[in-house]
Amino acid sequence: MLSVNYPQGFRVVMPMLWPVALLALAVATGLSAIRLVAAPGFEFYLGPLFYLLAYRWFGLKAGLVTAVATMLPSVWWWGHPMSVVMAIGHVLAIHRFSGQDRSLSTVTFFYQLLVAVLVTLAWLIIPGPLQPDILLDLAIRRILSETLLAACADLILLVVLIDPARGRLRRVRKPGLQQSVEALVSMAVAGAALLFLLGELNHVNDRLDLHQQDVGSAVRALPGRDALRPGPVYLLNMHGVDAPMPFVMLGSDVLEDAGSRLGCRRYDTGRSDVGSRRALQDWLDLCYVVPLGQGQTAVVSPRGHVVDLYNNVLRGILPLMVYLGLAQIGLLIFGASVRRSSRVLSQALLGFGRGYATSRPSAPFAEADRLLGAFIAANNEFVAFDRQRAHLTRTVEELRSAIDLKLLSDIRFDASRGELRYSKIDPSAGQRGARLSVHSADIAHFQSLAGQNEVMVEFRRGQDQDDQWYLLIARDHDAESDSWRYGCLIRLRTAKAFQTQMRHSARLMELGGMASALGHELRQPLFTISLAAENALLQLQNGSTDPERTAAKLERIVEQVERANVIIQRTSSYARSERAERVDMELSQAVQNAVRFMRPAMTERDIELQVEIPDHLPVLSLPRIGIEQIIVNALQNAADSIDTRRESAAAGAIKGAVVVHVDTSDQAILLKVTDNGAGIDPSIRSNALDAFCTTKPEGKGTGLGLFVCRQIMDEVGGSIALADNAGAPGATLTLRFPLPEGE
Amino acid sequence: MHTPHILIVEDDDALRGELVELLRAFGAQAVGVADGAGAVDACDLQPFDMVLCDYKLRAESGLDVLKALGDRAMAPAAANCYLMTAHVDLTAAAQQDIESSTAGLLHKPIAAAMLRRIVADAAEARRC
Repeated sequence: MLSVNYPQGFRVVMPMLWPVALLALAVATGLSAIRLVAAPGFEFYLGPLFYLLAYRWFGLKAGLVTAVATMLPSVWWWGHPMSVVMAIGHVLAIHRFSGQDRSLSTVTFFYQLLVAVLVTLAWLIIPGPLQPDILLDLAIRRILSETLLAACADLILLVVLIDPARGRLRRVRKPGLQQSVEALVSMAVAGAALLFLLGELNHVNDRLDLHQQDVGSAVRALPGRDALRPGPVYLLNMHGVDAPMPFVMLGSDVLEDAGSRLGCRRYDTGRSDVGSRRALQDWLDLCYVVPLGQGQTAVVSPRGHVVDLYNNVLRGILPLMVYLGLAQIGLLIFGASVRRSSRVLSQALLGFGRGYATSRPSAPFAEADRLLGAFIAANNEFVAFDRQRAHLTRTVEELRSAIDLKLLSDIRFDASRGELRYSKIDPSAGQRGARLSVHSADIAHFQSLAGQNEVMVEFRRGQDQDDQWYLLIARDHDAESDSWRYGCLIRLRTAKAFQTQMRHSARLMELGGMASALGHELRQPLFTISLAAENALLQLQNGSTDPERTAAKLERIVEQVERANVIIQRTSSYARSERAERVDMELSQAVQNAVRFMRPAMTERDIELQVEIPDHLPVLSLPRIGIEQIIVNALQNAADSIDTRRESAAAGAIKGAVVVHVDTSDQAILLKVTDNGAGIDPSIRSNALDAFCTTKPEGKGTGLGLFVCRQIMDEVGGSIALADNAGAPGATLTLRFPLPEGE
Repeated sequence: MHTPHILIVEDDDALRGELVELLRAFGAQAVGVADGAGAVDACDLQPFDMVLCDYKLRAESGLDVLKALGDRAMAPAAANCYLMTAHVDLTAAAQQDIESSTAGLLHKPIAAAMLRRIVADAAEARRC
């Protein structure tokens, strides 16, 4: 197949195509007009080479025009336009049968063979002036010369290509396999046959030259030569010459009259130059003129001998012609196989990746077949891989659409710009760098996570009051680049409003728990009140006259009512659902309020509550209720954890202890609530701060406690962490309150 | 009618005082103690027809107290022991513990009529 892409190679730009084309046509016509005689009986002209190239380079019209132009001179030689007609037929046959990948030489061979057969048939029906031997010679000569010229055109086309649209001449870098093989085989076989023929024909010529002298000698040596008279046609038998040669004696009549009886048109006295004997027709028309002396001259026609010699040559060349024919048939089969291999391979190629190849097509050549096998195996492997990839991609997409998840790598927090930088891993688009600016309130939180191998942080985007919250989970911290190798970013679907609502409902649920505790606390004084009232009533009914006893009962009732009132007041301050505005406060105030609220419950549960607060803490702007709530929550959790430990068989009765410890550092205030309870349940260790994560019995805890705490801490730009105590039972909840800048 | 002997185990002093007084007014011989140790001591001194024990004592569970009393010869049968609680939402585990013991459960505040019936029951138990 001719390469349609023009790869690297030489390029000749022809800016004026038309003038150049016309000039080329003129040159081609001029060259074709030269009648090249390689040997007697072997003449040829270059016309076919030019019109075949013109056809292949410029198309059918150019091929036909060139065919007519280059073959016109033959009309002048032959006196008939047969060559022009056959050239036109040749171009049309090439156009019809050659296609893109078949060589010119093969089609030419079969075309000329067909023409030879047709002409022979025509001659059998209407015998022409030519002898069959001569006809055969012409046919063979034509087949060979035209096949060879076509092979030459093929070779040129394998190297040079003209792009008429761009007016460029290029070198073909990748010639077609079939064309190359066909051109080379045609060239080799037709060339060999042609060279053989040329050698033989030249040999014939030499023999005929010698023959002329022998004939002269033979005629002179004829016995009874004097008795020969002009008029009758004698036959000369020579040694080594099968056909007897007719001759006449030249008398007073003219040479032409005597020669016409022998069919002579030319006469050779042996003195004319060699060039006039080059053509076969010259030899066929020729008669030797042999002067015998004494006024006698003999005219001898060597025609029979010439024809015999040519027949010998033809007999020699025929096996080669058969060989050429077989080679061309072989090439046809080879070409078909190449095309089939190419088709099978290209079908396999086009179907690559479209699905599993269940049936295995076979290619005619072992090489192509092996390639096909390897290709199908590769295809099946690829399809399996691709399906797996597609499945994964789909899963990731579904996951992403469900929770808006981005997979990241090289995650880094740029503190100076307040930006999170990362590479986004997209299954379809690959890896892309991206950044996300972090809300100023969350920057400190990020900074506090620096260097941790695994982080999970919720933060807000942007600088303004953006509602969008994100959750970043990053792992595998690389100290050198100060980045996490991989992780994911989840856009939290809960908008701020929803979060607030959730926090509100969480608080309500917390209040539910608190109401339960409140109920318990209130039932105790209520029971005492009812008992005291009952006792007072009985005293009155029994007619007791001791007013002090009755007064003691009423005092007890008042005292218990007061006790209940304190309980209710303490609780009601937490019952407000609206978020408290931030107030400037010392953290110790919140701790003391929370501890005051929780101490009775702690005492009741036999838990020692110890508070360690330094004297002067920095004043922070905090939501007072929220912070108190966190501490109350922490104390409740601590107490629950101690109960859990007590319930476990191993621990038995232990003295519960909870320590609230406040410490200051350069950048933050740390509040730690440490208990000696059961520690973090291993099943929730990784997500203890998540919403709805609880180990408490059903109906006892909502699991929102720590989650709400974390939300509140996030709002103040702080953080919350829960960890088991090192080397001791229990756990410590750490609240980190960042100090305002400049402190 | 024989005077029933009732032991009250309650860590809230005011409550314990009022309860003992009311049960006495209802005709029972009531003794109040603040914890499990006191209860055991009391049972060693005299026999009781019934025990009313707070479920959540300061440092111990009422169930444990009742269990401790079960060994005592002068303690009442388990069927005549009651746990008192102010919790309406006891955990499932606590609920199960109470059910597995044969003790009855009384929710605070306990109505006067209920206390009267308890005294009557204690008298009946004594008669058996």
